[in-house]
Amino acid sequence: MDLKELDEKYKKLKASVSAKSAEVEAKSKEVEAEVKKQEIYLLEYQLAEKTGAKDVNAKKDLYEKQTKKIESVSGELKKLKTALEKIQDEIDKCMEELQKDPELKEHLMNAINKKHQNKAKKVYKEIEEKMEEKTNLESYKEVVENHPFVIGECERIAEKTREKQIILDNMTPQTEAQDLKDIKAIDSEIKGMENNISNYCKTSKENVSNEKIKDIIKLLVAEGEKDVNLMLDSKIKVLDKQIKSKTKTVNQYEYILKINVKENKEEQQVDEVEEVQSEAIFTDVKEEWQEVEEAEEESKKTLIPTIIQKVKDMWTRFKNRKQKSLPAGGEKVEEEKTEKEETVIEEEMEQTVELQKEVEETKTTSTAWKDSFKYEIVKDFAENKQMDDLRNAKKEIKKSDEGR
Amino acid sequence: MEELSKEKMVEGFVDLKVKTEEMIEKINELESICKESTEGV
Repeated sequence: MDLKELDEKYKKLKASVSAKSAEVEAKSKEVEAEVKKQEIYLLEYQLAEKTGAKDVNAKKDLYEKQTKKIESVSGELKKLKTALEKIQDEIDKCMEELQKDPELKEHLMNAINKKHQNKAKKVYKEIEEKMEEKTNLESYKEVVENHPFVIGECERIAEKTREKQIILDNMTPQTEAQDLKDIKAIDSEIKGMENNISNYCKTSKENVSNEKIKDIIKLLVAEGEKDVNLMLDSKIKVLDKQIKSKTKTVNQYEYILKINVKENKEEQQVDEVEEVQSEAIFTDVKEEWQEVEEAEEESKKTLIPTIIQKVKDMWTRFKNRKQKSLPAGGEKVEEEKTEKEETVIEEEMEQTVELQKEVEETKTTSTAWKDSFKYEIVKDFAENKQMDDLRNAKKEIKKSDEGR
Repeated sequence: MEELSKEKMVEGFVDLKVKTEEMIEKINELESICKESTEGV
């Protein structure tokens, strides 16, 4: 998959995720509304059952139908989850593709780690909030245990508040006059109970926070519970479950982060091992290089001076022969002598050429060997001063030959 | 320019991955609420 193809996939997946996000948001609102309805139907059913109302069966039916409705919403949530998991698989495939490029893999890992770190921080904050909530609930439990009178009043206030809410929710123009009378009576009862609590708090030797009592009443009303102890215990249990689950989530994120860090370290270690290995190879190459250079040096020290010396000797002999004065009648003898000397010079020249060849071979071998390792700087053997001397000597021989 | 778009694409995929993870978490939460509500009185 090339980048263009990945880009196309990304655009399609982004559109799918946005669409699913809107669906999840809608489902979340639907669940909230349906569950709230369910709570009301349950409360009404329980109230009807308690008072022995005639419509108890109708209330029960309503509650059961609502239960089925919620089950159906739950089924839709499952389908939505399956669709999201499929999208996730597609995303995973694209991410695997991106990981094939080492640079992108590194960037991807960093981005994932950053996201997981943020997510871990967010969940950790949620855990802290839940812990704080739990601490509050535990402090309410202290009030419940130490001040049973206050708690009794709280439960009654909560019950009366719920009754008032039901009247308000079901109020119709036909029942309005009676409902308002009932509400007024309830309000009066609630006020009386609140005064009782206030007086108790003022006279109590122990400090009882009025704020805490108000919070307990609010909770009782919101949770629809009648028993404060039961409500606090169940809420603390739910919070414990949530804290446990969120701690697990944080641990998972931290584990993923650790794994990623470990993988990065391992990759670094592999790189280091490869570096050590390449260093060892480099050491071998260096040693071989030194050997070749030594051979080169040796050839410079031994072969080239020999060649130079031979050329110099030939040049000296040639000069001496030319400078020598010829005796009378000795031209023929001199000619023969010169012929012999020239033969010697030719032989020596042949030897010199052989030696030169040997030097060139050493040079070619070492250059080829150096080139094979792509060394940027390869010393040119011809640039060597000794080789220059050799060239000069050869030039001089050529000149003198031409002069003859 | 190519490098920048590559990096943006990587971040985009990570964003999508995180968003889908969050949505699945949310669905799990909603499923658990539904389950509690339907478990009976």
